[in-house]
Amino acid sequence: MAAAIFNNATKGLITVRDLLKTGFCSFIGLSDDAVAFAANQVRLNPTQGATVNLIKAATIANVNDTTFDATISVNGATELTGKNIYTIGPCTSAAATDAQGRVVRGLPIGVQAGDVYTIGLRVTAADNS
Amino acid sequence: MKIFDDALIVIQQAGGAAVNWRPAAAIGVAIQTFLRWLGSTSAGVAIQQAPTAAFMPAAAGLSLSQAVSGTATRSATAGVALSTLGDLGKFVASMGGRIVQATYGLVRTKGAATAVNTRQSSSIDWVNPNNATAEHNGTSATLTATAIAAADARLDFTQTASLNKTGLAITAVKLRFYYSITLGSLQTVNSVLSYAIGAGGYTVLATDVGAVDYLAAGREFDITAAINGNWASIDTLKPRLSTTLGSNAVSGSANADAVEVIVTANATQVP
Repeated sequence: MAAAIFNNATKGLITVRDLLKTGFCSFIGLSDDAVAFAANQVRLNPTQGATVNLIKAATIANVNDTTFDATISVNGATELTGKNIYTIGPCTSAAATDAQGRVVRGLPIGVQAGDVYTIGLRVTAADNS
Repeated sequence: MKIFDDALIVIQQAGGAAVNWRPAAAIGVAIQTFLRWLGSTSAGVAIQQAPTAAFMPAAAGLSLSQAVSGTATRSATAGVALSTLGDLGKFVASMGGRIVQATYGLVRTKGAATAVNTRQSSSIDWVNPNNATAEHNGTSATLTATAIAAADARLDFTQTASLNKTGLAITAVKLRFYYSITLGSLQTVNSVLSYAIGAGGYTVLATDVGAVDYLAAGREFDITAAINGNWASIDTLKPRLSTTLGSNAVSGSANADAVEVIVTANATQVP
């Protein structure tokens, strides 16, 4: 029996996409820590050392029935000033412990006065059945 | 080998306690993957809080999303196993919420780090050249001639080094001069806006021979092609305002508020 159960046009994938907006990526977190997650870590900064987080509520915009963009802006004059963005992750709250994932950059992105960044994650719901 | 077709494997916490979603989800996904590998595409795995409260997509799916993400972050994938029992739980599907792209967009607006006055053919200087540093703020350096002496001096600007921007692709670079020239009766002016990159020669952007007022809105020049995507070129950019005011009047002056470098850049990362 085939297991394709999600109806893209009505409830199925659209519902999952909308659940992901609140349950996966309602906030976006940035960190100047370049260390990837260990298997049992859920924090944005795994080492919780002298690293810096910035977590802000995301602006959400649908791309299509299965995909949305979550976006934040960063004012380099007052936020992460003099720091580097090494990682970006979806979060479910402003707490670093609510990071749901983590994308680590190979090249850091420096933040300084005069910089205004728009930083986003594109998230898609996929039917893997 | 499809001996598990239409089978439903239920995961519950021992002793009827509340389900710990993280390990339950990880186990569920692993079992489901194994069943798929066996060829039993209709077999499913359900995680139940209680025998009559099966894991449904509209409720606990959210929890499961969070639980699985911790094990999948290295690939930036949050796997979600959503099950709908439907008629006697004949199927379970595996859902995935996945980060497909991270984007970084930058608009950098930065005034000069320094503004240095240099006399040319006269003994009159730009007054308060530091007023022409940083971003546009309404406070200007001033060059004024006298009734008997022309003013001929220039301001040379330098930049603040950009911090670790090489991971961003430059899409546009603009120079914006905030300045004005007012002239007394019969007074003449020759004012040249130019720039150089590093040790290179100066490129003239514009020459003014009359009164102008760009103090409020600025006068913008696109130098994207000259920068050629090179952050080092932006860091060594040297704008110049070179002004000669005639001596026929005492009421005219040149004013320089700021020279801003506006950089637009971006990066796209596919995890």
